Amino acid sequence: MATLYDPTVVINNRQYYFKPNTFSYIGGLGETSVEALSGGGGTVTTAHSEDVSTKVSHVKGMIDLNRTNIENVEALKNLVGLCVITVHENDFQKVFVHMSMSNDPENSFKVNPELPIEFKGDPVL
Amino acid sequence: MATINDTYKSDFTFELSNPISYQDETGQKETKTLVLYAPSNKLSKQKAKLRQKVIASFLALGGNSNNQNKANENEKASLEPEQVLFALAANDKFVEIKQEFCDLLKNGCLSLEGNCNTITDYHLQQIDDEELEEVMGQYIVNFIIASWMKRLLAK
Repeated sequence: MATLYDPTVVINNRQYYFKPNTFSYIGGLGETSVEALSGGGGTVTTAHSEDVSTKVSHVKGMIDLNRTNIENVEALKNLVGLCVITVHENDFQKVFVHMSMSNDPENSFKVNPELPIEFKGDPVL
Repeated sequence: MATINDTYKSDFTFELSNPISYQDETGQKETKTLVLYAPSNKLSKQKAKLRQKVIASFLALGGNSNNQNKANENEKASLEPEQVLFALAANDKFVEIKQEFCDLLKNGCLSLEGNCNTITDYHLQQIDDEELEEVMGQYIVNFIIASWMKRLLAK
């Protein structure tokens, strides 16, 4: 099985190049709450419930700080709920739809400048 | 096959042999259908630059073109994309011509299935190079030199 370490990330039909070791995603599968229930006499069972409020996917990473990226990121910020992100590497592919840029990107001008971008939206397809 | 004819087209479609991926609001899609549009007036500068390089390539092809023109003057005016590509490939500006062509595609002259109009390097990199050149030949015949060739051949 091939290790996944170098994905191609496409956001709204544009390929983005991420700083090494900065890209990650959370699928939005949601958290499951597990609670112990006492039946008396030392008997215990568990109740399981899904917290649907946590079913939000999360994609984030750092891209280079340059004029093109700043302009593209500003355009993406305006597309509330309309961003589509594809992550693929070899035969692995995940697609995120109805995404919005959730952070207000900080443009830090420095050596090896970086532009952090974060998206949240529907659970991964 | 694209040839110079009496009617100007505003678009034509090209079927790729392998599908390319694009995104719309609903997710990831694949298509083999390219829809190519004539450059709008907004792109007149880019069109002029491409036309200039194409005509220069034709002129650089050789001195016997005038004789050939005279021999063919009674024949129906037609120019095949392969002839155009042959003339362009012989020129050292071929790489620049391809770049100019790709810039036109990224500025509104191409859509995928008529749906995706935001064309980026991501899409163009998925197209086989031979097929991209074939598209370029057809595009140049249809939209870049058609009007000029008609005028020249009418004289």
